[in-house]
Amino acid sequence: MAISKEAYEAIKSIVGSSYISDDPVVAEAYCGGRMGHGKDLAIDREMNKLPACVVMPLTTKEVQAVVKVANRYKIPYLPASTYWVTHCAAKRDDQIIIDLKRMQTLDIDEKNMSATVGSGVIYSQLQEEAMKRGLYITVPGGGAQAAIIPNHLTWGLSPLNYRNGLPCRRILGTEWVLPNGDILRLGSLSMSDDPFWGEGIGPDLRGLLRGWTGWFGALGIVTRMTVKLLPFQPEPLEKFGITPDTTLLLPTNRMKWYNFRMPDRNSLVEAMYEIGRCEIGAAATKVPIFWRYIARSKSKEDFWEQWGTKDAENDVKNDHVLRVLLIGYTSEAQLAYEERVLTDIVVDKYKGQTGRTRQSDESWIKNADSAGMWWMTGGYVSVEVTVDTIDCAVKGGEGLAELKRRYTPPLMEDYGDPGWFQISELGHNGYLEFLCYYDPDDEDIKKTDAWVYTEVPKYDIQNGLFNGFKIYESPLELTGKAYGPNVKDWMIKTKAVFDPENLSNPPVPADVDEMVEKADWLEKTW
Amino acid sequence: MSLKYELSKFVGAENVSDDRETLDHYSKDESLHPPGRPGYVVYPENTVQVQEVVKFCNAHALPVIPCSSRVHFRGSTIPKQGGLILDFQKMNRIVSVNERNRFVMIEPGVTWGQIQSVLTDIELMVSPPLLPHPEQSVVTTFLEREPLVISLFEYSEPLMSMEVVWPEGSLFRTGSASAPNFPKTFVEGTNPMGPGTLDFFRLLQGAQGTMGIVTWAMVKIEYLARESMPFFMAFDQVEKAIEVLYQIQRKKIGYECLLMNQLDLACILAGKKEDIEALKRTLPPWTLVIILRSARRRPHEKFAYEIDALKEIQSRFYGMKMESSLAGLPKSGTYLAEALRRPCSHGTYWKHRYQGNCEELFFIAKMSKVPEFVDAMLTVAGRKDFPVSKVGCYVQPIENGRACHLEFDLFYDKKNRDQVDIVKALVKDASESLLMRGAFFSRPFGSISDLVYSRASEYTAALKKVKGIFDPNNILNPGNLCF
Amino acid sequence: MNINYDLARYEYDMDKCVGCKGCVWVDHIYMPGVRFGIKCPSNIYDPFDAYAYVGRSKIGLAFLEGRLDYSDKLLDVIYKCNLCGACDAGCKRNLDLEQISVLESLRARCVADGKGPLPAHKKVAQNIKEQGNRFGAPQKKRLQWLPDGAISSGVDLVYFPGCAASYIENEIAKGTIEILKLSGKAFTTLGDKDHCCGHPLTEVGMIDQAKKVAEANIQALKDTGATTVLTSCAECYKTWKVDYPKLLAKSTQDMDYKVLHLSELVDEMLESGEIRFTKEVKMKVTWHDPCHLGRQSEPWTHWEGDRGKYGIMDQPKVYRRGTGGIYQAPRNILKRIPGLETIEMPRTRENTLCCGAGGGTREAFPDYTKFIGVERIEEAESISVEAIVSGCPYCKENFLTAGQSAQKSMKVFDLSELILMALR
Repeated sequence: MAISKEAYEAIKSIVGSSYISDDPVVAEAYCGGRMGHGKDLAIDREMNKLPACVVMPLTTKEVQAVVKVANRYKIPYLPASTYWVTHCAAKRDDQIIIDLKRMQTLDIDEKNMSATVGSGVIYSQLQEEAMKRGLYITVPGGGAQAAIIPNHLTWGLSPLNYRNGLPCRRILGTEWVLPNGDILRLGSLSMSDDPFWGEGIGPDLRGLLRGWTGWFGALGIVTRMTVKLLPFQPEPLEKFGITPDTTLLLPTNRMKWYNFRMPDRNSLVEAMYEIGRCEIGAAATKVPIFWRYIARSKSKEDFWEQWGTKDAENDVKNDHVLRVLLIGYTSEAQLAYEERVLTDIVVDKYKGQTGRTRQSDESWIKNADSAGMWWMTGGYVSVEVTVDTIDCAVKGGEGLAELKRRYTPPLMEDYGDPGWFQISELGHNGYLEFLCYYDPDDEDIKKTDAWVYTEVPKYDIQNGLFNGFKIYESPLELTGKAYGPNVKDWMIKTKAVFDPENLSNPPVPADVDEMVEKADWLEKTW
Repeated sequence: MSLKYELSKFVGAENVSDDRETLDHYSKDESLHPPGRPGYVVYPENTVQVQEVVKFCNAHALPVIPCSSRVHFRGSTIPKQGGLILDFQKMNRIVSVNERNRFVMIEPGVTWGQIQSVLTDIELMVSPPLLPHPEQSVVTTFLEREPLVISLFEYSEPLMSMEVVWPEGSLFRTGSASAPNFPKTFVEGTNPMGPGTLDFFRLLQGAQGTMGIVTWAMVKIEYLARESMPFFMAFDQVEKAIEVLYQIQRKKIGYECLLMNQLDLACILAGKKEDIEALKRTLPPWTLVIILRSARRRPHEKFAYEIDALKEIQSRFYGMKMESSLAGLPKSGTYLAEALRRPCSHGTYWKHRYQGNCEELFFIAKMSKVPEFVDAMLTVAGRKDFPVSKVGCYVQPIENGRACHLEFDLFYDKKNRDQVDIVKALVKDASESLLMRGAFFSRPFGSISDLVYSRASEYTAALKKVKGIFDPNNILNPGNLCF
Repeated sequence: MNINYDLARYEYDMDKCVGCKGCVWVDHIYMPGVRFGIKCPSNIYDPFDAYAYVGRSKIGLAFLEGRLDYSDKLLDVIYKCNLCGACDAGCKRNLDLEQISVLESLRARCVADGKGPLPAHKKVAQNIKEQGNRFGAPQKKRLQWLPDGAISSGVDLVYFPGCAASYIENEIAKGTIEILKLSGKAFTTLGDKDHCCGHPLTEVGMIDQAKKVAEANIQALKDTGATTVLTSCAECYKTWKVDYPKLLAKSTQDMDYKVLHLSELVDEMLESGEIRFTKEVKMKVTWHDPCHLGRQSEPWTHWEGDRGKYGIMDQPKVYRRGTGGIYQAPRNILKRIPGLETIEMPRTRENTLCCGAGGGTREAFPDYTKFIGVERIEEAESISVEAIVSGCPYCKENFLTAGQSAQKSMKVFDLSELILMALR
């Protein structure tokens, strides 16, 4: 359904004729969803629509003006930068997409360690600039192709959180176009032009901007954000290799990866705890075995030849690899010291064996090979991200692995791998992510829907996990009532106050609820 | 039935007071805020009682002022529109200490004096701000976002999950403790975020009790190092000190790290007023203090590389000395190394030792702007006839020096009417001058609230909307901030 | 429809795009920042997603499934693309989708349905048909640049200049044979059978016509008795090496000839000591990797398999990921030239930004082509070099034309010119 001609012309006069289109060919490119996280699951299949038009503003002023036009004509809209998740799709016939990719400003305050970015800047771009200045940022698990602003608003998790803190802490001064077109500036930006600090004034409205996860565009549009950069080490990381084997070579006097083979899961976990207590390291993670198989496979077929074997099954059961990154932030001597402590802990105390480790990084400093997650089966979804203690991560992962057997197939066989876990904030927190792979063309895809949208949320509630993904992968009537309790009420009240016309990416955050009404194969037991 | 009777039904008669002396006590505090008298003081003993009182008050539009510390410095617990004080001194349990996951669960009445003494026995501590008053509530400290003296961690706020009573009386848990059936859950409550799309902890922080009432909180605890190596660097000019501070912070060296002028440092080191004057004269204009702490493993090897790193920085600044104690005060290093991990001890609170009272003017700033702010402050002080020799200054780097908490301590005698008037005028003018130069008053108290909220109209409007969501009847501490 | 250009066979490669935009961004390891962070030329020109593979995949799928019909916009999206392969190499870092095959097949479908190619392309096709070259210049003048006595008989090496070197960049052809002469390499040509390689037909989807040209050229080569084709045009190089086997549903290794680019030959000769650079060339230059010499030049391996569950191939497939492109040979050559300083541009090797001239855009979208040319020149300016060096006459032509239109002072050379400067 098109928007009215008047509305179209009004928006065109704001952004210029080159940056607006209602052509069906252009709209098809933004049919959205059908890609990324949760591709082809029920939300994609049942909810996603072509946008009525696509608009590409350049400045905050243009964004604000477009939103005001949307309000005037009651047009639902949704903002998007890099479309990495299936939520970035129109779900109403007359919904417009505000594509923020042209907003590419990037300014760095090296001395005070921050970067101010527009909505179109992605992590690898900022990381390149930051590292030149002896600084770095946490590239999230979702990948260096994620746009910085939306990722800070929704996720921002990675093994580097160990030193760099949880993502909500990394947001500084922010410029935000509210759903009605008013501008709200947060942090020091609320009182001056300097966005160097994020909190306050008094209560911190970053608490409105995001919680455990974000609004996915359902509470307006952030057009400019200052984010923390963190102290790094000064040596350059050499870019090396040709696709598909590109990598950063680590300056091993200041940065090193270590792989340790631990005798069992328990010793791996205890080693992680001790690493955190000793406050060494830049990251410590245990990765799912199938990632290692992906890393050494030359092709999808090569992966399947290796994965579909007894060896793989044994590896999952018996291989406990702890991967640790050390960074000599202070000096070479710091790295050397931490290496000795690491050896004390992992090798001497917990009997790990030092494994062969390439001193290069493909995946956490300037890239994250997250797109490889789709390589194996064509479809991928993480059904769980819980940040709490490491013990919680292990228990949760083991429990989900057990439950997952009932859904395998259609889920990919992973031989009971208990997921990916790691430590955050110097061991004060742990992290569990449970990744699942499926064939989007599978005739039993509806069983995968059930796993994702109802089974895992119920498991979370029964066992008390704290799953960030569930805000957009479960019905609010289910998890939104259970957690808090009744966090749903606060979310809906907030949405009603700030978006009374419900124009900002409707029906998020209740889109799963809407989908479940349509999806008669999903059992509604709440 | 009287209000007192109604309240007594919830908490017991022994926990409701309306006697004059008690009400007088709560009507004022150490700040210059004008007095405001509550009608009652209620001392709940558990969360259910809190809920019942709050529900009742909400139904009857009766203001509630939550109060957890035994001392108050900033006027936020003085009733602005009457109502009742909800004093949490009886909710002072250390509910649990989880050494494995390094957190402690505490009720709001737990004080710094209480917590550190318990944790010291097991070689742990909560990262403190600068010498908190022993009777100050730990939960309140972190709700008020007081800066830590340890600037090394990127999480400058140690808060994890919390339990909160909303103004309409419902119970809620923030963070991962929001999981149903907590604590009979896999989660243990260490994640502060959420639940859902709101970071409730952020809305409660800095709120001065206007959004919700925290009935317990989980707070990170850290290793209490066995050994310390303090270093002092003396500077005549604050500019040079700031440069050194940037470099130390960028290299992530040490734990506690701060910069002070001679007056503030003298107040900390000396116990009595007369000693402060004498000490002040011997101290350098500015002192940078950094404490290295031993690690759990290979402690001296850690010292070794950190000292080398400090020396390397020292070599870049010709003539800069780095000593383990202040000149003429051989025990100052060990004293300070210990003091910075504890609440203020021995007698009078350090800010009251010099003149009897102290009005704080603090804000967040970039470290590079500290010299400009110091100049501005002293200029205004001079104009207002406030002796610059009585202006203390404390610079606390935050998160590896990304910014700093800059605090001016104005020492005065509250019993002297003239001094009170001068300090009030100075605070007004100085805050305007500093604000114009980019000072970010992220935690405004008293008269500064009016100043900053009038400057930040969009933020104020949004904040009021949020307040309207959580406290539509505006019963929680009305009159504070912009409410 | 030729199996390699059948859109239906690439449904998976459209459907399984996950939207990571590896087709748009420079490989993140090499990401130079905001300014030169995008390697998809059409998406630089038009930032709507429709103009990158991430959008074209969905459009192609909708088209295949009948949800989109032909329109001017559809043709614009399909044809305003250089087929440079940046998207293909980028995607293969993680997902191994066959992007170039999809894009080529879309064009083949347009032609098969009578909706393509665009009028400008039809003109070129007509020129090839009538005069054996894309420009429509007289066929008999094709080898006019060739001096008498330059060729030898009974040799194994055929020099194939291509249309551009024959008609508009004679200095490249002349330079190449001069290099051969100075290295003592005897060669011949296809004589009066020397003809357009057919790339302008392949690239716009005129598969049947392209196949006929391929067969004729291959026969012409066979008739000489030679088995090695040498070219200094990257387009011709890739056409002979990759497109011909593809058109004939064969593999490169099954062809009865071998293809060499001038850079490969000269690199070999320098390495073996057959030639040496003796003259100094004091200049600061940058090497522009032509798409068809770099990421698109890996041999073609014929494959007729199908995908099963999870998209697993039922027969092993050799993927062309751009890894084995001819990146190093030209760099080796430049490194050996005394006095020459070579600096890399931010977008280089498999991440190179196309010059903007390929894929039929030179004829159909000249403004677009110039725009991309200027973009690349600005990239060279950002590293403060005096000249861009390349190994394709179309790259050279476009940089010169675009540079003039934007009043840029950047010099442009073909590799053959620099080699000669160092040899003579």
